[in-house]
Amino acid sequence: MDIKSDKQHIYWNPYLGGFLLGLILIMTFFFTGRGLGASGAAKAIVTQTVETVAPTHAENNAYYADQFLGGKVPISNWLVFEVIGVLAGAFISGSLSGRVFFRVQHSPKITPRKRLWFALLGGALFGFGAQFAKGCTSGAALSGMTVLSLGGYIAMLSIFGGAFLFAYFFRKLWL
Amino acid sequence: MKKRYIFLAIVPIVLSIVLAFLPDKSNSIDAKRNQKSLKSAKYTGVTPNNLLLESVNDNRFIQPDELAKVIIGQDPSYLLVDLRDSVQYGKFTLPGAINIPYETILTEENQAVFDSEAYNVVLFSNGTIVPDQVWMILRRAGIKNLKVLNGGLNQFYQLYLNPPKPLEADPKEAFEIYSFRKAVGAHLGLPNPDEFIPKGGENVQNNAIATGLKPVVKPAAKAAPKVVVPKKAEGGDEGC
Amino acid sequence: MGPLIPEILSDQWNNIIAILMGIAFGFVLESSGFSSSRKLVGVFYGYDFAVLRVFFTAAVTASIGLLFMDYFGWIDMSALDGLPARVWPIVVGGLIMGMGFVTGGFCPGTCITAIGIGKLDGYVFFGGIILGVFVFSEMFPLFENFYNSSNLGDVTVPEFFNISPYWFTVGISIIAIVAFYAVMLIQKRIKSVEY
Repeated sequence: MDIKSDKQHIYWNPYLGGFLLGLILIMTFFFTGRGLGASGAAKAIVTQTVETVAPTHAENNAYYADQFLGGKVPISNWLVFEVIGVLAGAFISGSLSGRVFFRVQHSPKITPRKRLWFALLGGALFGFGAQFAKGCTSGAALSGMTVLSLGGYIAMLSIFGGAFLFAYFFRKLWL
Repeated sequence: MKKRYIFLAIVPIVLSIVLAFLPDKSNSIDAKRNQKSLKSAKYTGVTPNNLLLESVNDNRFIQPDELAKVIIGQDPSYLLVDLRDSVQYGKFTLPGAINIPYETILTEENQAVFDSEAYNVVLFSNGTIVPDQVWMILRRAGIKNLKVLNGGLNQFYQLYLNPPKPLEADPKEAFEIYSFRKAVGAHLGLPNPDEFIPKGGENVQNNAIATGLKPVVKPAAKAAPKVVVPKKAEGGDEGC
Repeated sequence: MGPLIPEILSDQWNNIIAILMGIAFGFVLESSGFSSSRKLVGVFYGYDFAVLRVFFTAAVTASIGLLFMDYFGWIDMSALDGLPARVWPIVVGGLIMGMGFVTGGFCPGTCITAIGIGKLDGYVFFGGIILGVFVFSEMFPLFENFYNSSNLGDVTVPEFFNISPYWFTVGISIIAIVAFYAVMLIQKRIKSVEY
């Protein structure tokens, strides 16, 4: 689907986007009693894979074993289904605005290859950190803040605080 | 800056201020939070295992005769807590008892009663089930020095309203207990069936119904509807 | 009334609703431009504050909405899943995530939207997340004690500071508006970056 169009960079007003996101959060809480999230899906994928490939190792590790307590199947985690939905929703929105095509988005001052290496590093750091905090910006920070949870606010402050802290050192990647 | 944005910016602030001033938040998160904080604040807690061990042991029960001695002796170290609703409390209660309807036992002001460990608290109600449940709950929360009146007010009044007359052949202690109980009955202001009421015990039972007490023995016709009444309305405690 | 699951709707609806909410979430995120890593990190370099605006607006809207619904009895807010406040693990995790954010330019949610529109850096970022989760899980015995430490429980901010949740929300709304205004002024001064 190699459709590039002129409205590629036309995005919604952020306040409108935020408002709609707020409504989505309300509905999600109303229907299911829980908020949105994303990193939990990655965790479920990893756990399920490890369990399939090396079941005894998964049993012996407290972190993996915990997720199977009570007969739960990680891969049928609520978040996995939600993430599938996010993929679909993003695809629909992207298609409508002609943003669907394969590329690497990077600052003109660095090469695509460098961008990809840093993306890998960034992802690893994010995945690692998300386990400590049991969530990411959507799951811990955003959904936590919605229910006025102390953990949610702490998460938001430390994620954005940390990002501001380290932003200077990585400015060459973006500016 | 566009007027539209200024207007939109004011909306959430106004809405949340409206929220802050809304009346009657009894069902809301604020009220529940207060109850929750009470639970976590006082929770020095007895673990379920220990609670089980304690509950198997019967020494939390205080017998009516012991309690009667406390009342007559006006022992200041005992605090009597009437767990029934305020209507029943108003009609008749034990001398010096305070009223904490059991549904409200965990509110902050009522919990303050148990704060100083100086008192021995005696929990009572019409029967034994409600006070024993409350004992469990308070014990779980770590409150100490609790006792439960065995048999509740039902048995208490049975005993002192119309103490069972000992037979001729019973030992001397039985007679002593009998006179003690009559004395207690007189002290509490209970009518002595033999002296004041021609027909004796039977009518006293009926009178007891009139004063709101629920006799354990066969209810007279008047009491029949009350037996059917659900628990909340009459505090009908099925006396263990 | 709510949350509808598990009492009013059965558990089987859970996954269907997950997908539907996910679609809406992904759509809104992508249309607000959050599939673009350069747009996302703009907030840390001062050239694009979309993240702050969307984030704060969503949090304030959702909080006020839920509080109103709670007041009317349509939802029981104390029954909703909050995040247990394991203070130090969250702080450490957040700092690490912050670093990940500025190196990779994504967060897991936005990375999924990037995958949805074909951005290869999004795919690689997600691969990185998998790697990070795996490394953590394998190293878990080392962190186990720290992971469970300093747990204050599922406490809300107003509970913790002993203020009314409604006034707290007023405060947050005011902070949000002030932040939006400040950010607007900053954006006018910093040279904008074409991306």
